[in-house]
Amino acid sequence: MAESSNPPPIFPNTNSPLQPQQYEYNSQPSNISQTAQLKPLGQAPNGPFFQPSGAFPPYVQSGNQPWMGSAQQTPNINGFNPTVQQQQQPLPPSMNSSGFPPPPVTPGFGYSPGAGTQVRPQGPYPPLPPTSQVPGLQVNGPASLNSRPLFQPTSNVGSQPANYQVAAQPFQGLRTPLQTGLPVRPMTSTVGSSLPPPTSSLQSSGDNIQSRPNELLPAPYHGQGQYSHQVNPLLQKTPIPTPNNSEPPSERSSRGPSPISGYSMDALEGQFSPGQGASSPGFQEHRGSPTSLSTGHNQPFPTRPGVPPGQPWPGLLQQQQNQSQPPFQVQRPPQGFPPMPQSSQSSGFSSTGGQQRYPMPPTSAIAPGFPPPPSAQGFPPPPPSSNTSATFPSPHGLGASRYPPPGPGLMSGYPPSGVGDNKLSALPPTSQYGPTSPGVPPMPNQGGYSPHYPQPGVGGYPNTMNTVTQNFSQMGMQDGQRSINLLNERQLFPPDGMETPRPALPNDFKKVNCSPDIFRCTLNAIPQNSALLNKARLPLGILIHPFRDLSQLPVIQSSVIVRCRACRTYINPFVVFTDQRRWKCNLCFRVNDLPDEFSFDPVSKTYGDPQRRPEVKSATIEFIAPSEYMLRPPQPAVYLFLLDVSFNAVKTGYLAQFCQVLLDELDKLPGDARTTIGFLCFDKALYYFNLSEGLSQPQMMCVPDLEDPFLPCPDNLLVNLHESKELISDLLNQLPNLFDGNYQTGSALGAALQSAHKLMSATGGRITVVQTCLPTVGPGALENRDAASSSGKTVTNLGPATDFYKKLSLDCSAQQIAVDLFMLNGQYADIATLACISKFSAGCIYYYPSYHSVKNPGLVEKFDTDLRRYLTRKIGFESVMRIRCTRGLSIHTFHGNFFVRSTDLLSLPNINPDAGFGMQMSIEDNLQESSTVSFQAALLYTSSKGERRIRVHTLCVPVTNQLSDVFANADQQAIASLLAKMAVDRSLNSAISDARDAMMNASLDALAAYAQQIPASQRAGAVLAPFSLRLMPMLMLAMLKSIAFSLASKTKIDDRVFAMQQFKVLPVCYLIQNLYPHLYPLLRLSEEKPIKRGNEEIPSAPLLQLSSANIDRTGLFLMDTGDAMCLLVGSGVGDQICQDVFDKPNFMSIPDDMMDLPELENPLSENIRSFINYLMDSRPFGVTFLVIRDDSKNRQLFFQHMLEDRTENTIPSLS
Amino acid sequence: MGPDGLLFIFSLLDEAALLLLAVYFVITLSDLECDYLNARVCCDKLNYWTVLELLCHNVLSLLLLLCGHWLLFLIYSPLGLWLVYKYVKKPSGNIGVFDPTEIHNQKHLKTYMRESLVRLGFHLIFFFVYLYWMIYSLVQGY
Repeated sequence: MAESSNPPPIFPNTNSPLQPQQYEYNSQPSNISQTAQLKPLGQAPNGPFFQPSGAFPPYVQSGNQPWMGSAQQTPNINGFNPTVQQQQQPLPPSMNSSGFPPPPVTPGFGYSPGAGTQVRPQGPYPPLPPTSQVPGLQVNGPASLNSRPLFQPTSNVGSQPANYQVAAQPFQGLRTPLQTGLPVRPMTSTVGSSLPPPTSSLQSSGDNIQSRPNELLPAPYHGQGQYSHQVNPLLQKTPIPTPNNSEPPSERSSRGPSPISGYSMDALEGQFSPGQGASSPGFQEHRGSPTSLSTGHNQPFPTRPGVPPGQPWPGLLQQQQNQSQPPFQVQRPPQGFPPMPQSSQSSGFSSTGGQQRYPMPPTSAIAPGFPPPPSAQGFPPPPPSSNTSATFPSPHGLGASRYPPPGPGLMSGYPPSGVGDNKLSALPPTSQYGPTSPGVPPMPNQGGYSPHYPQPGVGGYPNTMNTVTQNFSQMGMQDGQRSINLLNERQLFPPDGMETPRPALPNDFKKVNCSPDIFRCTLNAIPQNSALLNKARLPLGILIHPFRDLSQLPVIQSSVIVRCRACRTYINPFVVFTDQRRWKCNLCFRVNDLPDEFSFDPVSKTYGDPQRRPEVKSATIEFIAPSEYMLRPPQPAVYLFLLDVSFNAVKTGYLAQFCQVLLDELDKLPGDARTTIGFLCFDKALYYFNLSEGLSQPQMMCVPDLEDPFLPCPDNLLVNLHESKELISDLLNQLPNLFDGNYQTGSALGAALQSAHKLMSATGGRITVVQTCLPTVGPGALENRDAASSSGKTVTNLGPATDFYKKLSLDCSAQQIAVDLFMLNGQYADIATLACISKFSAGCIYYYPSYHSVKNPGLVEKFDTDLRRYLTRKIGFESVMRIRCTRGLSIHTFHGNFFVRSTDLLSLPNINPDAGFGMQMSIEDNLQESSTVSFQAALLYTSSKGERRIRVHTLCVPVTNQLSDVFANADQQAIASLLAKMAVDRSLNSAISDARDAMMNASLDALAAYAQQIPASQRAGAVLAPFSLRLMPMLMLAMLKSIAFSLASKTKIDDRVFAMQQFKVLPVCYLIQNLYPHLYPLLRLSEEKPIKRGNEEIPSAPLLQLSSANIDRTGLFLMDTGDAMCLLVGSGVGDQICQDVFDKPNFMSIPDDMMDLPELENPLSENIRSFINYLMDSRPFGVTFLVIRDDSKNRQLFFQHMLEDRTENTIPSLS
Repeated sequence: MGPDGLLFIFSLLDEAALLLLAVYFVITLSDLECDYLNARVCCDKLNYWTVLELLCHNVLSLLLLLCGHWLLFLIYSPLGLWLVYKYVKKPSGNIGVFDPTEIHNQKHLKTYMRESLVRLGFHLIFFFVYLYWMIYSLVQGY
């Protein structure tokens, strides 16, 4: 458990502050302690060189070109300087890190005089080239880094598992790194300018620990894998104001994309000053501060086994916020929280210097030792032996006295819960202590905070020293801990939208953790075992939006992609560096060797700290994959358009619009010179178009044979976009007229898809189908099942009618073909069946019910927007995504559009930036091995430029054994999304009514499970919900009333199936908005803080809950469901507003079918329009917009979304 | 050699075939589990044999019934009926009883594996039961 390595028993005996440390060190694995001890010595002199801000200035300033070898080279070579690129920008074929000749290391920089004593461990490292010899130091660089020989041994060939199979012939043509001819970078200037001599750093560091003369420290060199030149993780963080290394340029270069900004590192500076008691009285460390200990007492640093050495210390960042906090250093409960290796500090002492830094003396030391907390909230200085926990909220926020009297004074600042308070720590001290109530019985396993508390689980966590200490200030009750009586509180929805919780990790991990927009977990504190999960009655799963458009993404091209040898996990910020040569996988816990290249820094020409690598600094990262990741040469972008030209289709008039949009966007189609395009039209027959280069105009070939569709000519049906551009434009111009008078009613979609499959199977690519009616002829013909679909309360025919499309879809998937479907049908077209073609080939589905180019202008606009976005958005071809998770977890169910090829491998012929995925997880084993679990999604794809890339997202979530933590850290949006996906499955497998029951039970069970751990006295007459789940019942209600699951209204089966399909694939935020639309009062536009976009400021309005009580007659209200917007004009709206906004004299003259707002030049109109435009632009799909008068017959379009009103739908039918 | 002798010779052969089939199922599924097989390939292989298995099993049940071996029929037929039930109840859009798109979901693979093992045990037992009956009836016949 947490205390395993830092047992409380030592504290009572501790008279000398040194003692605990000693203990801790001894308790650590020997090599670790040695490492720890090594650090200060080896690192001290180097520190300045590796400062975040000062690392590589010249590299950037001068350096790109001289040794880049090619002008296209982006500065991210070697991965040390991740280039933040607009994604999808093609990286030019750039060199590998191995492409650099090993820079000779010059003696005298980067090494302290003392460092010379260090000898690298003798090991499997190649002998040094004579040039790179440093006196006293072996640099373990391969003799020549500059070409293949290095590249190959380190590459993954051969050890590649089945996931990314190695090509039999590695395809190297495209990606051959430039290995030769790289000019060796002139060293002198670089070294001189970027790296100050050690002496200067020593001086400049002043009182910093780093500058402590090495001689003061023991020289415990045991050859334990320490590089003498290795950077002290602490040193990195401390921006020592050395003039020549803190120059800004470096910030531009390598540190740009780092999630840990240089700024925040700057704030850490004072951390390590040894005698800072006076200078920073309020300054304390969040967690154990071995640094301060060691600095103060010349102790060597303990390593933090859990924290990658280069990460900022967990507490560091908090200090910015908590500078004024009392310097209480609090020990974590031994039992209350599973060990957090990252946070594990062996010594849980505050660093405030002097004797007071150790507030641990058995009985009386506390009160005097702790200054009164500045936050008036009242942490009275805890009486030493009293039950301090009375002051502190329990994990529930309810039971204050849950914690038994702590050991003498020691526990006074005990955070109530392991997980929650980590989160707290990031918050400013808050005043809400929540409804604390005395009398909550102690948690069973909180029992021992006595000094002699036994140390269970020591063996279980050999590497975790889990003394997590907390500040008093962080003990504040946080929202997450509150419980809410749903019967009393009406205003649950925050005016600025639902909050997005993040995993409560130590701060350094929190900062680098994957963005919740990309990757999130339903429970931000994972239950330790499945029994606890069952107790919580909440679904466990992850939701991922892997190919999301990102504004900044570190892209790395490196010869070595470091992965775990056992489970093939990519190295990520949450791995543990056991020493500088090895890292411990955070998924399978295997200890791996670190390749030499990984820590090699081309600029300083040294082997530095692996922490500087962007792989270890960012949880979202993209690699440019070497040829081992290719089964074949990367495919070109191939697009085939399958257009329905039957009578029905011609009648809707979509063809003209489609061709026009495509013509407009033809140049913007993602792709390179090899981009290929083709067209195939179909009604009862198939129409191919020969677009070969030499033709004067496109040739159409009609194939009426559907049973055995053959290709009329072998090539030229798919042609190079650039070579045949004229013909393509011709065709697009002619196409609408070509089929103008077509009276064929049948639609041979199946046959068309089959021949499209045949056409594309050589390359793979994307098939875009526009379909307007039910396919009725040829293979894959369907029957109209509509009549039988909804009889009474049971809805049938939600599933596919035939397996034709499913099989075809799997065939397509095998050939790397994705099929995207645009459904424009007015009549029943059996989307349930047709959707299969997209579902399993990772396509996407758009649906425009009753599309008509004239009669339905709103949809026309939406179709236009969607289509433009669709054609120009990023696309990845022939991709696979693998989801890995920490041992003990396994994926139970997958949700989304893909084919699951093996247990954790999704086959995605295409990946688009709008696709979301969900995975239900199950806990197979106790998650005891680590205090966090991680999920890693690796998406391997071919970009439209023909580059093989790997995008890796890693999410780290703490583990807890407290039910209260599970509840406090639940993510209601993610839970609702996952439940929606599960409910879709349930509807398909059994019935919608079952799914509805399950939804209701889900929220009831969760609330009941929560209430059970609350004393009965409080439960009486209240419906209690944890703050984190307060909206869950509402979201469930929204789901019950949604088109997909509602039983009350007559819903077209296609609408319903499409809504279900959307639930499966929408990313969380859009799904939630779809469920619970946003309602804005447009006349209160200035009430919220304006949104900044670029230079302009957009006024914004608060969000309202969806209750008619919030609607008044004199207002304008905007309902935004994600794909549709309704603007309700209250009947009492003043004439002036009508004039200003709608350009109409009064309310009555506003027409019913107003679809946009006139552009008027007055502040109100401008504000409203800019706000609405902002909303429309902020989503990746089109929106219909409609102005609805309060007395209009379309009123229902608006009021149907008033979920909280009691309508016929409100009382969920239990049938 | 009376009809019983013939019946049980046939039963033994049939049961041996079913036993082999069960082993094949287990092997194929574990191949999929270990990622040696693509889900598609695996399901195609298994679906190919499901109907045959179903027929073999139920024909034998029927023969047992016709020959008046009530007890054997009662013990032997439920598994066959269950196979029929599964075959009939599969959703219309699914590709066979083993659907490659579903097999990795919701621990279906584990369920199938467990079922196959149960079937393996079942057939193993009945193989010896029929062997015993064959010998018994042959001995009786003389």
